[in-house]
Amino acid sequence: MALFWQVLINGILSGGLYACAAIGFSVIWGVMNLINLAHGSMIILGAYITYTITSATGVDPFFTLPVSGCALFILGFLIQKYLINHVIGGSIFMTLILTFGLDLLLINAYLLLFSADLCAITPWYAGLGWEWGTVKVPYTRVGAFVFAIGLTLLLSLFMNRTKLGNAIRATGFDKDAASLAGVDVFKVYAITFGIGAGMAGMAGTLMSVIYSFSPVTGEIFTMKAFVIVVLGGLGSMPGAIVGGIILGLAENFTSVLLAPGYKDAVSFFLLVMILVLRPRGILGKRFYAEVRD
Amino acid sequence: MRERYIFLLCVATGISLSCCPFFLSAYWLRILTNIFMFAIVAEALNIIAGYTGYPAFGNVVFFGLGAYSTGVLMVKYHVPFPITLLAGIGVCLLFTLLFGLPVLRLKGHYFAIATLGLNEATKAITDNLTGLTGGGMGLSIPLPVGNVASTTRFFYFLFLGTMALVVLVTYFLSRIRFGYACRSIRADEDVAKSMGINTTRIKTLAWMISAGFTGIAGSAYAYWMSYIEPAAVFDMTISIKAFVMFLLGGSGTILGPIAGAFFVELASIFAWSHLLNYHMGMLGLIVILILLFMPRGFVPFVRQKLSLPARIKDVGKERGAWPVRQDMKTPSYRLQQGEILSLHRVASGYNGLQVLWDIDLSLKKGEWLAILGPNHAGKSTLLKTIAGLTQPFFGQVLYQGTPIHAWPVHRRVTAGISLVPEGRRLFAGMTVRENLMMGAFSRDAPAETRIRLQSVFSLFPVLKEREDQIVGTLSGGERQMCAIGRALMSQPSLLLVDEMSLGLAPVVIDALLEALVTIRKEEGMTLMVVEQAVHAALAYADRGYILRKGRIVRSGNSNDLLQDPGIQKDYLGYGA
Amino acid sequence: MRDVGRLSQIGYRIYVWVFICCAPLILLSISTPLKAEDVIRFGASLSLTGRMATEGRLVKDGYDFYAKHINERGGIPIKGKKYKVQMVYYDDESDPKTAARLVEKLIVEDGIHYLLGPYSSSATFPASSVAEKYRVPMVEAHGAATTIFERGYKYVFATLNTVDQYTGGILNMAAGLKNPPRTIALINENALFPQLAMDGGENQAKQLGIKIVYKEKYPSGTKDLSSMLAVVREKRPDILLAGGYTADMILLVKQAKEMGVKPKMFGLMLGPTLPGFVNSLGKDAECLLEPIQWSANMAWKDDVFGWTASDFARIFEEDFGYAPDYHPPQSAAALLVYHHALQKVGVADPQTVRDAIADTDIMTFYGPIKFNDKGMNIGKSMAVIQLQNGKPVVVYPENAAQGELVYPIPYPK
Repeated sequence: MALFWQVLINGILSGGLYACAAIGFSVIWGVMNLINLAHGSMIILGAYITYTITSATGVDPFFTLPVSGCALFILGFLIQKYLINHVIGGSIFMTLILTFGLDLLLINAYLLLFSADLCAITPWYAGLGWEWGTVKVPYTRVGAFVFAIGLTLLLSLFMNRTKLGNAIRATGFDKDAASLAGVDVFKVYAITFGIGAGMAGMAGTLMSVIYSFSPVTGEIFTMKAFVIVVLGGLGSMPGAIVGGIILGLAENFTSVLLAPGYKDAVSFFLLVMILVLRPRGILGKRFYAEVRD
Repeated sequence: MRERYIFLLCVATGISLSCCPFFLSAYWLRILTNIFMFAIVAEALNIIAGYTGYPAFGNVVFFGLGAYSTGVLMVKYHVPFPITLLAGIGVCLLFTLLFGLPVLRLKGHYFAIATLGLNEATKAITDNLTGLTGGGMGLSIPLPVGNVASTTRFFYFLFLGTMALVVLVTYFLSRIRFGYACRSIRADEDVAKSMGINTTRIKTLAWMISAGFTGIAGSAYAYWMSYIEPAAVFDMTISIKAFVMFLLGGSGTILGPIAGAFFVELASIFAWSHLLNYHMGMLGLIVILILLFMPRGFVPFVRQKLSLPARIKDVGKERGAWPVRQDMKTPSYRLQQGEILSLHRVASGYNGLQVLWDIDLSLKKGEWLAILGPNHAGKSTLLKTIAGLTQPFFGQVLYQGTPIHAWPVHRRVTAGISLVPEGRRLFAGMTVRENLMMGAFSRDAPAETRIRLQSVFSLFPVLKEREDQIVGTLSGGERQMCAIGRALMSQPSLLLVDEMSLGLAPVVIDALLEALVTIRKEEGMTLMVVEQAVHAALAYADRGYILRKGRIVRSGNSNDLLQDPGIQKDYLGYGA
Repeated sequence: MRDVGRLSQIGYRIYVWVFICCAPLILLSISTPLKAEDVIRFGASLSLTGRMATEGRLVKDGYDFYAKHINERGGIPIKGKKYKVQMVYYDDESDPKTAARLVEKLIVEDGIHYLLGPYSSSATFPASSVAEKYRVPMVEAHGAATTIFERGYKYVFATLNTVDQYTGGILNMAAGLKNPPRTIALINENALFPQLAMDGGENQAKQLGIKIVYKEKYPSGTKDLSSMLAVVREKRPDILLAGGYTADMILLVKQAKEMGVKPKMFGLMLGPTLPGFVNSLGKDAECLLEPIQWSANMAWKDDVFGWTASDFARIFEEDFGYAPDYHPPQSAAALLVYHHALQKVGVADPQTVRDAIADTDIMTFYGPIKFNDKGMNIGKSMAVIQLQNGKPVVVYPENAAQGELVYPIPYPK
């Protein structure tokens, strides 16, 4: 029985983190109809920023969140404005492949700057945690989970309560109508991409405390983001949380019930199933799946 | 005929490639063989993604299935290679049939991701079936018999032959009904269905053909490499490279993917030889540059130069295809007394079609102008051109004396132009209140906005009742009110209304028209209303313009127009 | 709206010109290499970047060490002349198919006839196929999978002991203890070497009567083993053995601690003796076991340089700044094999050199090297170390032991 609780907690904690990693991806896709294949690499960049700062100054990694968030926001904003903007109206292939090319550039840059070695950040409280009976809950994971959910909720608040957030949502619903309401759609796109990148960067900071990373480890996160967005529904913030937690639970329970080797197979199997049975996801709104080409 | 030249060129290339093994080094033959392999994958991908319009991002799954069919059969059951090749094709076809039906129901991005998921799931499963496939340890396939030279030549011709075959098959298919069916699915699947095309069968067949050829490439690869592992043959990079190749070469063309394969692979190898540390970044950079500067690919460019007839695909979503004419730059028209809007010799259109021809129009402040005409006369396009959703490619649009035809939409909104678009285009997932508040986005004063909101509510009381409801739950009339309210929130001086009466009951239409009267009276609003309901439109308007086939055919006072026997006959249904 | 068309217009023109100019350049630039007369070139594809970069660097240092010292002495003396040694490396980024491609490049483009192996069984497996196809000898030092040698290849030789010997030392040692452990859990990465190692461990455990309570593999590149380790914790194994590469092993030890897994013996197939491992884990690395191919206290002496194992370690540390684990001498030993073979037959064609290699029977600072007909080194065997106070101490076999095994691992309350 204790095993069940341990696996459940593991699943929820990693799920929250996954959700944070996926939310940026979801926002970009939902609003701009753009799949950002460089998303995983942006997460890794956040991790590297944290690593650099922590190695140099010894400050606790959680404090670097604002830095990675802002840095990635600016980078995302610039990338959208000067690069992706040119193909934003084109076919799906184009945006997919453009972001893929961007991903390659980023990975190569990391290889040159940081080398291919695996990095890990080990704060003084790593390995320690709460113990309830035999169930262990490490501090690092709880910390990451709390921040992840917090950031996701903050983003949700921003999207629903602020003028700019509403403008972003409106642009996602109907970009022509939004421009008729006075919204500068291209600026909104740039801001949206910046937000997506910023969330990715902060997710990277949270990841870096728990997992080790290297230039090529970003792809896994992009794949997981796909699965989470499809599971939870495109453009839905609570959907990303739900999707993330479902994925986290699915992976951990599969590890135990089937075999650890099938962890990844299960998540992709889920992906295909949901796409076939309910493409709009669990909490997604119908029109996204239909209006979007 | 130019087409004949292309054919001869292909034959000549084929012959020279066949002669290569006799004078090129093993290294170069290997490079060419690699190129042929990618060309096969890219060309096969073209069938489902380029011609039929279904972006099979995970098409590499068939490569892996072919490779493992060959691997498993040769290692476990000692089956000779040619038979495993056929078995590999069979496995791929089966897989397509099994998963094709559910997955092909999805469109666009969702289809792409589903295929991605299929690939990753298959990879993960192959990784785990260690007993059968060797799992993560990989599979070592018996070396081909013969010396280095003979095996090099064997694989060279195997891949060259398959590449020629897939090109021929694509050519053949594009000429028969099947090819046209595929392209019609790509253009508009619903229309294709309504023309009696069994789209499910065509799509599945297209994917099966694509899968089969990709499987052959995989099988041959396994035998060639003598070692495979899941991560190597279910590798997304192969898929993406194939996409880049066929995009670069020109999707939906026959030789495009081949040209693309040559260019990308040669560039890759060059980068690899000389820029080992940067080869990844180089590939990324090439990809980005290609997409920015050559979105349609190489082959269409060549075709254009050789003046070959454009394929169906080439006509279509062209943006910025119009050359910028001189007149757009210099305003040479004077503002007349009291005039708020004027159009001079405006020509406009979209998607490669010209819709408006030589439009001259003038609107005075406070006037109510009705725009009438049959369907597809260009009425909506006219309003969109004024609002900025469409750019004119000739002529001038002057608003309060300033040329605005180059202004983006949001700038025109801030200047005071507001459009209630055709079909209302409300923000579906938002409430009434949120929609209205979005309308005020361009205005920064919260106090004024609140006052504005109240005045909209007093104009349309039912909106206040349904303030917090999602707009999807409103009736047609209520939605139209919300759309008009939203447009009003930006405090416009010029309100453009496009087909507001569509699908509404007469009593609702009257209510809306009365609302427009109120707006005009209370705020001195200038109105330009496009309407199908001619009688009602002219009854309320001051003046009217009649559009037909993109040109203005009649204009005048609304009273005069109502009395005009020609108008009566054509549009009002009575008269001589 | 942004003007896609305008860029296209410029783009097409650029494209055509770039293509016209670059194509001949590309074709011309790929040239065949020139052969220098008194230099012998060895080539290898190494994982200088990627997830096995740490190990790859050790391999390269080993090869470079030999090259440096032999060149300092003027080169390899072959039939009265001295030949300097030149190493040609390419980075395969820890990717096996890249390794295979690079080996082919070395053979065909760079004209290298004496190949050294890449790092890891996963890379050596396909790379050796290429060597065999082109009939060029490869003396590899880092691919332990027995399957490499069971394909009937004639051109592939290995200086290291194969994977079937990895778990044997630990398990034999365990069986001989006063209160022997009764249960064992085996986990491994889903890759060639780790899988074979744990399969071997499973067989040996069964023969010794140790009960297997858990045996599972995890996908490569996994970041999260916590749930798997939670199950392991529930099973309470006396011995926990794990197979994978260093990065995974560090992750494993960390997460095992997080999940509260406390075996009496904890063995990793790789990691503890690698530089940086102890730094990464600190106290958590205490009492970890590792099977090793070589250690500096072995009583072996080389006849080319006159060094013992400890001489090697000392001089290596002077040159490279860190104390070597078994990877560098293992690499250098491969070059010693070529050294002796070339001395016997001269700078001959690959097939003749291959025959000379097959007859190798030498003693080096790495230990004795003698190949069986499959190319495996049957001259030496493996030992086991335990990390004690952050340092590796040989605890098995008894005749080579430097210290006592700490058993069971003393966990803090």
